[in-house]
Amino acid sequence: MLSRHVTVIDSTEASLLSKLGLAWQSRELLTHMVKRDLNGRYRPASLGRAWIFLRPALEILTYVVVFGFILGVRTTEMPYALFLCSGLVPWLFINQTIGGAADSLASARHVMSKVSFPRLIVPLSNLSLALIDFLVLFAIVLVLVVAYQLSVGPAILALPFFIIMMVALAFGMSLLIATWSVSHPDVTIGVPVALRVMMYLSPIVYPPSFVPTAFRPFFDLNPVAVIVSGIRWSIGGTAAPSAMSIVFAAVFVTVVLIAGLVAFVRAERRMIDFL
Amino acid sequence: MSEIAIEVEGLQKLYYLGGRRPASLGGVSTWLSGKTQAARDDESSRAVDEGRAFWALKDINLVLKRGEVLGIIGRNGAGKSTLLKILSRITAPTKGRAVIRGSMVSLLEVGTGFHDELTGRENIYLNATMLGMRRSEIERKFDEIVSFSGVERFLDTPVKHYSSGMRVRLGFSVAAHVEPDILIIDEVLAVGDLAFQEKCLSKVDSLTQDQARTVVFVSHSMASVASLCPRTVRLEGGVVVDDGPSGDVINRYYGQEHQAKGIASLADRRDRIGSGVVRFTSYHLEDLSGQVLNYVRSGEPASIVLNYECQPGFDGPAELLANIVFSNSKGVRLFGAPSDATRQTKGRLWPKGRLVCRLPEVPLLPGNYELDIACLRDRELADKIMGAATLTVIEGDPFGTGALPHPHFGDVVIRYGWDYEPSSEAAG
Repeated sequence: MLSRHVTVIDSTEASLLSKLGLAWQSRELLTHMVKRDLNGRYRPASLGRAWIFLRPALEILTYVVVFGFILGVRTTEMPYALFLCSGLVPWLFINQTIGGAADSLASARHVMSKVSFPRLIVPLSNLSLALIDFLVLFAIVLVLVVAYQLSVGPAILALPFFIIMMVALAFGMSLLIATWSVSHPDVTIGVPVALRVMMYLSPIVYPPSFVPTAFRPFFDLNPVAVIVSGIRWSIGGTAAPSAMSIVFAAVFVTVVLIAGLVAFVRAERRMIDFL
Repeated sequence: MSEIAIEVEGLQKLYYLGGRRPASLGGVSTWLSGKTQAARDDESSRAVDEGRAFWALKDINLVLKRGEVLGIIGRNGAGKSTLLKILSRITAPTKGRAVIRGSMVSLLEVGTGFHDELTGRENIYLNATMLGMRRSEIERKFDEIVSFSGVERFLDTPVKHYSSGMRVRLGFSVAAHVEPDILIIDEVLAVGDLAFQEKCLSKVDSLTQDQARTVVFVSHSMASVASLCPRTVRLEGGVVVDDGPSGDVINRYYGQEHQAKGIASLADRRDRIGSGVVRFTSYHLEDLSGQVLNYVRSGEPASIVLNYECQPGFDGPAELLANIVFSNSKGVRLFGAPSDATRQTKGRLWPKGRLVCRLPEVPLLPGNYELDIACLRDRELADKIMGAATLTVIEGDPFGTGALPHPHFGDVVIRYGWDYEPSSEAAG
């Protein structure tokens, strides 16, 4: 990596801000790494980039069949298929970002052992890939919203807020998990299970109204639940999450993001010794 | 800009074995626990005592002036690659510091981050960006990179269809077009087929010729260190044990490596046959001026000296047949040097004397060779010792090219040349 002027190499760590600055300077590398993974992932497949849609479409179809038809879950404000999509698309993003965190570091191991670059680029590239998939899929959800002729109100203005919260939560968690997974391989094994549990604790395949009132206070503490409900509310007019739960989720997400950045950046220079 | 390009002070690096560190990675938990430097030092030394950790670098101090070209040599595990990784900022030191003045790029591998599914063109951009080149810079040098690599025709083919040679050529071309103030090069860069290796080395040479460029070059090949770097440091056990002009450092290194090999006493050998009227007492190597050598270089002159004692009454003029047979380390006989083939059998014995076999060019590739020695006096075997000595040959430069044939083709190197001519009919 290029360095101008005087570089001091010692055991102390530079500040978080200066490291974020370095990562920003390396944005070209990020672009290339994202392009590489995007092209590398889909190019050999004969269906190519169509897989961006096909993979989640098949997944969503499974849930529609299992929960909509077999278990007969019904939702009032929006059709179940759309309800499911609007919850699953954000969840798939969170799942992909957090679930891919440890793997993204492991697969960058070789490059990291040969070239110096801001290590933050690795989880950022993992995040960007998930975000690209999300934006494509979410555009389809919005098309569906229009197709179903749902009445879109001023709540749509809150959509960016919930999406930012979703990205921050997923990124922060992915940083924490990536950092921990380096020194504790158990994390890599436990994460998929934890994500699966998290999915069913959040109103992805069922509406929040299914949750017994006694559990509602705990349920509202789940930031994923708040984010998913918030997104549904802004596009489809379902019940809004409570103000208190939104505030709590926002604080939680901020703390996770900062903790993740600090943890990752403090460990980044020694990661390669353990990978 | 200051005249000093790289300054390394008391650099230390501790590695935990098995890659596991008890606490954490110096992440949030150590930060929260607020451990002091002293507490961490205690922890490190305990880990080393208990065999859970080791110091890869103990205390490295080094100053490099701007424009200097430094070679780093040392055995495996001496700390070369750790030092390289710290200077390249791939890993952090445990203690100490290095100050680097100017832009720096390290080339530790060719084609880092190449992706099989991407085309040659895409991989050039990816790899060059990783090495710190800006898009505009890559675009400016793109044609040059492509033509140097010689893969023009396959630029839009995924690299998975490339031969390993093409991959390496493309990777090296990118690396060779990075032009920082300070360049750190690992030996792995000289790769590919012979013709391309030559191209690589001359490119590295021209990169190092630039007066303003500071270069650190790490290698196992003494010949390339000697030819590229005026100054060399030798690492041993994580410290700098030698520093100076490359020739001196390399000679001292070999001197130490092969101390016992240059001179061998033969007086006490029991595994010998012959009448014993002449007995070999010792063996050593000399250069042309009679200086004792510990080793010889491929393609350079050397004398093999066999000292002997002759029983009283057997000295004086005699018909002598002296012979040395050279075998490689696998025990395969390569060639002999019997004195009858050169019609040098009319000789003379002294009570104490020496039989000297002069080789105008040592025709052996670097390695260790076994010598069998024998002497016949008046057609009667006087003394013969199998495996009398080990001859150590190190890299030399018989062709003045810096290159030697690959040992795969055999252990012997002879003087030869090639001409490329039309057949006589075509010429006529």
